[in-house]
Amino acid sequence: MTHPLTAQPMLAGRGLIKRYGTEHALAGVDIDVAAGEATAIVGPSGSGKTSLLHVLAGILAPDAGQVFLAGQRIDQLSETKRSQLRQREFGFVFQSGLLVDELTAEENVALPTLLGGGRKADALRGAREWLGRLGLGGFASRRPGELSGGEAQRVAIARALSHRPKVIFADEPTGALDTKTGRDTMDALLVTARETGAAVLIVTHDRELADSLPRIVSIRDGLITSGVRAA
Amino acid sequence: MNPFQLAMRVLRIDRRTRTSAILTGLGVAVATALVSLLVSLPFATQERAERSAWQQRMSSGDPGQANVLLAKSLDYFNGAEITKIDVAALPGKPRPALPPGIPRLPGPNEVLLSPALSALIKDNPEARLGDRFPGLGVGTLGEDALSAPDQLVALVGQHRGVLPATAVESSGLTAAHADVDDLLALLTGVGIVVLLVPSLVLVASASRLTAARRERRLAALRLAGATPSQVVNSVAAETTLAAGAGALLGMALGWPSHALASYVPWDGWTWQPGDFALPGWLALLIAIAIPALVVLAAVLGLRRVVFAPLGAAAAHRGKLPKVWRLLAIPIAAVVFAYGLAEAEETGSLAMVLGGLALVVLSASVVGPLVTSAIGGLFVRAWRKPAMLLAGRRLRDDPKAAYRASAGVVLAVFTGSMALTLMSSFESMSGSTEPYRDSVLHTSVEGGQAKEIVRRTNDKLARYGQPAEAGTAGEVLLSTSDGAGGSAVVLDCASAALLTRLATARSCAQQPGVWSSVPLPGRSLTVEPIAGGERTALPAGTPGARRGLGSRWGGHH
Repeated sequence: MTHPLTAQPMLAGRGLIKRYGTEHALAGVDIDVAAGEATAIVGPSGSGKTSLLHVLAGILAPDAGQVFLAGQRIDQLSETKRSQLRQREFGFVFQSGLLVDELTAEENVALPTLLGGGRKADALRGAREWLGRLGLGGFASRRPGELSGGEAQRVAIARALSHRPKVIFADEPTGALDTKTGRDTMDALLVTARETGAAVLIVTHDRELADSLPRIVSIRDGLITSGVRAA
Repeated sequence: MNPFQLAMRVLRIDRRTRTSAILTGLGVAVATALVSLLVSLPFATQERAERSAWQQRMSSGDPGQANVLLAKSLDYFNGAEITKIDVAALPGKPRPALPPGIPRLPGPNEVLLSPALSALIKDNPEARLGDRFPGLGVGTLGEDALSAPDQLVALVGQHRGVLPATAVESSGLTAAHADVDDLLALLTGVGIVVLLVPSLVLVASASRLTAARRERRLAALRLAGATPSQVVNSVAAETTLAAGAGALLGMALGWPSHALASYVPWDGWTWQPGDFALPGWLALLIAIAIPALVVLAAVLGLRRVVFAPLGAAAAHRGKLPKVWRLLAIPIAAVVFAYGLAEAEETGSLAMVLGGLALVVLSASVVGPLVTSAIGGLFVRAWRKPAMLLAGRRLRDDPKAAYRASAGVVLAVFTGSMALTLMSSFESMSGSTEPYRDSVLHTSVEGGQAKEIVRRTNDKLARYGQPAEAGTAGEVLLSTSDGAGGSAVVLDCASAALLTRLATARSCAQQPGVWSSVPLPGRSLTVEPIAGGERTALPAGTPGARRGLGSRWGGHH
């Protein structure tokens, strides 16, 4: 199923193929994500959801196909350039949070700015502001091990948003949280992303979460089977 | 936050990382101390040889410059060797130059003794020892004139007419330059390979102790946008802190280890602690190179997470090791054998050490294949779940499974190989001795040689021994600056039969010089041992050396 590019999408994949040995994780996927759009990617285990997310984010290189960010091809960039792209343009929220355990909450949030060469004082001030917006103003000096699952995930959201990325990738962001905390966390992510104009791509098994998003893309056996946009 | 600040933060907070860093630091400290000691050994023997060079220098470069007459002899007391140098100043010549440690040139009936010999004489009856060195003690030979603190040396002043016919004229008792001992240089190289390769693998394994947590941290950094070089810097900073501290500790441990090593005898004598001091540049090189290798090993050990964020691809099974890995063993063996043959002909050690390193590395190439094969056997023959699980784990990632035990495997492999090879190297080297181990030899006055040979052969025949005694001439070979030593004169057949020197292929019926050490580039002169006219060896005199020998100045 091919989607012609009518208006330029923020993120696009064309004919994406990813193999692990003889297995096809992606068997020729086309997908567009518009600027500011929140999209859920759903499908059974092993269907290729996470592989699609990783390929679009430049974490994995596709075996075939192309990935575009704002019209610029990014799948052929070197690892260093892809890292710099992730640093500037992408934010990540994963199920496990993937915070650096040795850093405080504010240092974790400041990390992308610091790695990009930003000034320490500016990065930490910005981090404290983001933590405040996500209701974590009193947790700036705590380390991840001292936070609850929901608090750590909100720190990860603050980190993902702190450098105002164009796209936020979230892989099962509520998988380790109870229902209420998960809903609160996702509300915080989606509201803040809307404020910054970031596109959000969420891989989830949570049907309720997927239904709450304006667009759902279903994937099975490495192929997109449906792509519903809310009216 | 720079990589070092992050590393310090991690070390302060994470106990497991701290434990791993301490283990790494201790490993580096021990490796640095041992490598420093090993590397210092050839320099120590050189230092010792240079101190005692005046005891060996029995020929003058220019007869016109000679100002003393010297005669060296060896004596023994309770099995200990005593070096006796008889000296007589030549009349009408300027005062001879003296090397450090000799306060004055003893005149007739004066004697200078080394402290150990002086003490030995005091502790024993005159008739047993003291009478051998009659004369007035006019001083003590200092440490700078002795190869070891316990060396037994007497410098005895004599009237010129008393000295034996074998006495030679010399220009003073000045010191001479000694070369680094080739055999020790080889053994040092072998020791470093044997020590360093397993150490590095063990350190890389130690860094895996905290791999899970570190990989998680690095994955988080990668997702936050850290480039591969930023992540490498982070790993390098963490390891550098531990390895750098270890290297400093290792250099500090060098002092006590050198002091202890000075009690270990080599070539019959102990050492002065200062003998093991390394040149500053070399100590600095070791202090930098070992941590650098450790950092490299740590970075290579984590390349999966460094170059693949989240280790995403690694969740899938890797390819099985290919059978071509088995070729590594014969290739390494051929290179090593070629290196040994090359060393025998040319004395070059580079190929031997390269071959040795290849043999050690071949174990790492073949190891994963063997691990995978064992895993396959377990999977086919399992009877209990534990065996099946072990087999699957070995089969799924044989490289990682082998890495876990590679340090121990390599340590045992290289250690046993080195122990086996040491005796071969030693027998190949011949040290300063040109004769084969099976040859018994002694030096006698030329005029008595034939009679001694006749009596010896009579006795051998009487006791039914097949061995036979014979004579070999002895001459002095020397360079224009006076360096040199005695050499034996043999025909080709006798040389092949009696010596270690590789004369078989190159000896022809014409004069040639074969040496167990590199011959000096300068032209050589030959003179009878009992004194006489000195003749320059003609340019183009054929000669060859057999490698792995000792320094120029011994027997040739």
